[in-house]
Amino acid sequence: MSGRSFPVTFGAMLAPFLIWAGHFGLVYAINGAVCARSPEGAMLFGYPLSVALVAAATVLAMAWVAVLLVMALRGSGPAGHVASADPRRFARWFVVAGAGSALVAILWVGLPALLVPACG
Amino acid sequence: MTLRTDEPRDEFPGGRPTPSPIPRPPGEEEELRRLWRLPQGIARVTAVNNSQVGVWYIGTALLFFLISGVLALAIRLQLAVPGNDLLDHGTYNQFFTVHGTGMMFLFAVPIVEAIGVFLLPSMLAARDLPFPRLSAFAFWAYFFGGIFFFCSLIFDAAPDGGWFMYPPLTSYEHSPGINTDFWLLGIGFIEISAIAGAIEIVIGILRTRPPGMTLDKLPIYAWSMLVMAGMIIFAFPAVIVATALLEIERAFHWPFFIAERGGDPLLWQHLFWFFGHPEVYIIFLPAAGLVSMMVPTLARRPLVGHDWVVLALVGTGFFSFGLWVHHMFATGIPSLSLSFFSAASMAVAVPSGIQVFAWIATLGAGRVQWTVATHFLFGFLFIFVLGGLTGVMVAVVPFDWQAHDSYFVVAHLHYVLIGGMVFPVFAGLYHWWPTLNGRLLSERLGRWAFWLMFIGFNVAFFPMHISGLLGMPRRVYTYPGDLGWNLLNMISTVGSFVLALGVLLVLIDIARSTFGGGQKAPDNPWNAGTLEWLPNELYATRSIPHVTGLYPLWEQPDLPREVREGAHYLPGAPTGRRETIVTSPIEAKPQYLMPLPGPHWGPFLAGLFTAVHFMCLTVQWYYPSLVPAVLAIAMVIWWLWGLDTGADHPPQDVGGGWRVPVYIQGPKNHSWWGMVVLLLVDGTAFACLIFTYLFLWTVSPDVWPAGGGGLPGLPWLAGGLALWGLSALAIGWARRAVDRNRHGHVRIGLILAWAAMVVGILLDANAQIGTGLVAAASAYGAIASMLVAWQAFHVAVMTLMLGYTLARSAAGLLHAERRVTFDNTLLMGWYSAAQGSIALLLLHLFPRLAI
Ligand code: HEM
Ligand SMILES: [Cu+2]
Repeated sequence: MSGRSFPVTFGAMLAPFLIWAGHFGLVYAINGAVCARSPEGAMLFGYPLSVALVAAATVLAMAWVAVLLVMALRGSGPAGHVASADPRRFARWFVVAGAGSALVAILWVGLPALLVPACG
Repeated sequence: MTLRTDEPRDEFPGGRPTPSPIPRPPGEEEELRRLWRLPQGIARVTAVNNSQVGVWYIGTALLFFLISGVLALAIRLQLAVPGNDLLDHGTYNQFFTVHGTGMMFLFAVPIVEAIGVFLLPSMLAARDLPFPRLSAFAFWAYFFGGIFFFCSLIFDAAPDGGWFMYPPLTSYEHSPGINTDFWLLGIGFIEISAIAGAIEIVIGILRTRPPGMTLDKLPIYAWSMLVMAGMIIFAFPAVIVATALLEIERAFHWPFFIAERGGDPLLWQHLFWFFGHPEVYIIFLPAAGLVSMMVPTLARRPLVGHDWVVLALVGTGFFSFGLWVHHMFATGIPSLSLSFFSAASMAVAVPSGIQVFAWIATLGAGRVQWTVATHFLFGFLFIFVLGGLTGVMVAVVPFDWQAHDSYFVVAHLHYVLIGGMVFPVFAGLYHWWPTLNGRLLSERLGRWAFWLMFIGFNVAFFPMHISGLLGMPRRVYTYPGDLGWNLLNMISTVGSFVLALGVLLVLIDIARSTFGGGQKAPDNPWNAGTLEWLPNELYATRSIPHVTGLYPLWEQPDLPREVREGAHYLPGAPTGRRETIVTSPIEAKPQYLMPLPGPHWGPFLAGLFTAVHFMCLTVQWYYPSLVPAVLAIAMVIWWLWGLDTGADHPPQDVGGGWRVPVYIQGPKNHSWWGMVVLLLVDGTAFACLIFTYLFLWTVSPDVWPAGGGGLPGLPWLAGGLALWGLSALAIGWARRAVDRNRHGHVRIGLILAWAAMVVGILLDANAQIGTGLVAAASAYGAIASMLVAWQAFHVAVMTLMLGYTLARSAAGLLHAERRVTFDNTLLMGWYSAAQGSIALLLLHLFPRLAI
């Protein structure tokens, strides 16, 4: 088994950070594009378009990371392919800690969407 | 895949005593020594092993540090008193630009890579990293390119637009001379060398670890280098694309950054800082990795919170990509964007904080040995923490608006850079010097050097915080005497000379040791726990140890003796050439025996010719530049030709019951990995071009063709897609033919793939030109042409690769069991076809769909 699953295993270990990065890029793109190109005063769910989209992206990203966190706590996840005990424990720990950090980071970065005007 | 004589056990200590039986047969060690001997005389430049090239690399980086430092002293002399006329305005601009550029691109990044290629093989107990010739090429390109860059100062042709070269000031209108070209071409191509180094480092760390060094037992320095190299792979393409766009704008007037024709100077800032901010961490993380190795040794206990430090390194690597806009706070972007970049900038302090706490806790829990390295480490902690604090200050947007482009920022950036990387690197120099020539640097001189550097640094840079807050702007060559900045500037200048004196002492110490002075070092002078302190020679260690923990030398006190006697893996050279064990990346189980290439003139000459090629471009000798370009490519082909040897030996016993093949193909091969990493770089560059397209559209939709008018008709799209698809299929078909050793079919497939690509790109170009598209007319014309040109460049690369593969086939060097070359061409071919299709879809469909 060893070796073949490296991209999968390593990718899964980094998944919380990758989701963070995806969220960050998406949020910036939404904000930039909406402020530059959308009609003045466009609304969604009663909020300015950009704010609503950013908030939705943040909730989605956090939910996804939370799923990974729960999976890792339950023992499934990236360590599945690994045969020897030490790297398996490490991979699991890494996902749990990484998911925790990513949750905080996504929230921290997504929060301004609720607090500041989008396109000022 | 791996054949085993018997079921090998994972854990040797406790089970059988050692992987290989001792005593070893006579002559084994002499054989190793003979195989790894350095070429002598002038042929010394053909050496390729990283332990030798690494030394030259470190030396060159230090030389460029000196040159950039002398420029800094000149800058400080000029600023010592108001109204000074030591340097005129133009010279001053050149000096600070070359100082900043030299420090960032020619010292900081190269030296951390250089230390990496020097230290990593011994830290991983590998005979060498996987691509020694590529590494040597990267070094020589950097060496010649760097010297050439500094020479521009002598001819008064040095760049003068600041290290970040903002357009429009650096475009053809405001910088008509060739000064800016020196920056764009010189630095652009040195980045390519940095990427080559990163590929070597990533794959070396993942694949050439000693058996037993599973992912969780990877030394922390290797983690930091892994993150750093990963960051280079995703950050540097952005600056390469940016420099290419600006150079094209200068040469052919394609308006990427010219607002009147739909371009936008902010595009440069995005691309540049998407690279530029991670760059700071690319410099800092390896230094932090060095610190995390030295601290446990000096405190004589394992690093507290090892796993957390790994997490912090990886986290910093990711988060730092989210910060590029904090260099653009003053450019008027939407406030929501401002605030989450600000939030991210503050968040990135957390992982750095974790590391600082881990170091302090380790030092606090252990009994600290007070070496010179320890001094530099404490100096680093002090300075870096201060720099981190001012960093959090400038991450606060309103404060940044006040401090922007003032000396406060100059102070902050030097606290972070000098504190965060120069001090750890100097600590590392003193610490690891014995692994370089078996001698210790002087503890007495070292202490003097440290105190001079530490005091000098603070005297030089602390006052800049104040002069900055008093309103002194950066990048001014002089100032009037009545603003209250005089005394502060004089103090800064004096301090910088004290700092320089400290650096000078270190250099004297190094010179003394290089010429044979100084005390001989014992095998493991600081009682470190990691593998680079095993007794080793040019062939690295006599045998490759079986690793069972994070600090093998502490856990297995007999290891140095066992390793020296050849009791571990690969005690000899079973196939009679240079080779090392490739292990699986997570569990570090032996997979195959990798032959390592030996000395060759190719890398040296290819580096030289590449530099000459870019030199010709800089001085606008476009046609003559083709000669060195062709020569450089020829050199690369020359050195590659002998490499893909096939399974020319039966599987070999490497010890511990592992009998492994000497050749492996497909996704386990190191060269396949190299190709995949290269494609990640390539894909990132392409993503930057797509970003450019979309960004320019958001700012200037008016120069875009609207609703299909002015676009080539859809049949062109269909035809283009069909051709890219055909090329991909043809290569796939050739692959099947290789499996069956049908050589005629292989050749037909390759030629067909090539023909489809060439016709495809001609078709695309023709379709665009047919609409009257003029690249220089508008930002749309520029980026559309650029996408086509980028694809044409890939067709050119494929022409070389397909031609090379055909030549190997014709020479009988390609068949089902010897096909790494073919597989790499296949990967590149499929990538190119996919990229071409995406570019076509974007060009044809986006303007039709966009609102
Ligand atoms: C010998 C110690 C050094 C001294 C005395 C020094 C001094 C200076 C001064 C006075 C400036 C501001 C020039 C101006 O804005 O007018 C400057 C800029 C800069 N320095 Fe240093 N420096 C030193 C070392 C370093 C190191 C080690 C690095 C990086 C690793 C570095 C990177 C930079 C950069 C990036 C700039 C900005 C250049 C620009 O604005 O384009 N410096 N330095
Ligand atoms: Cu930054």
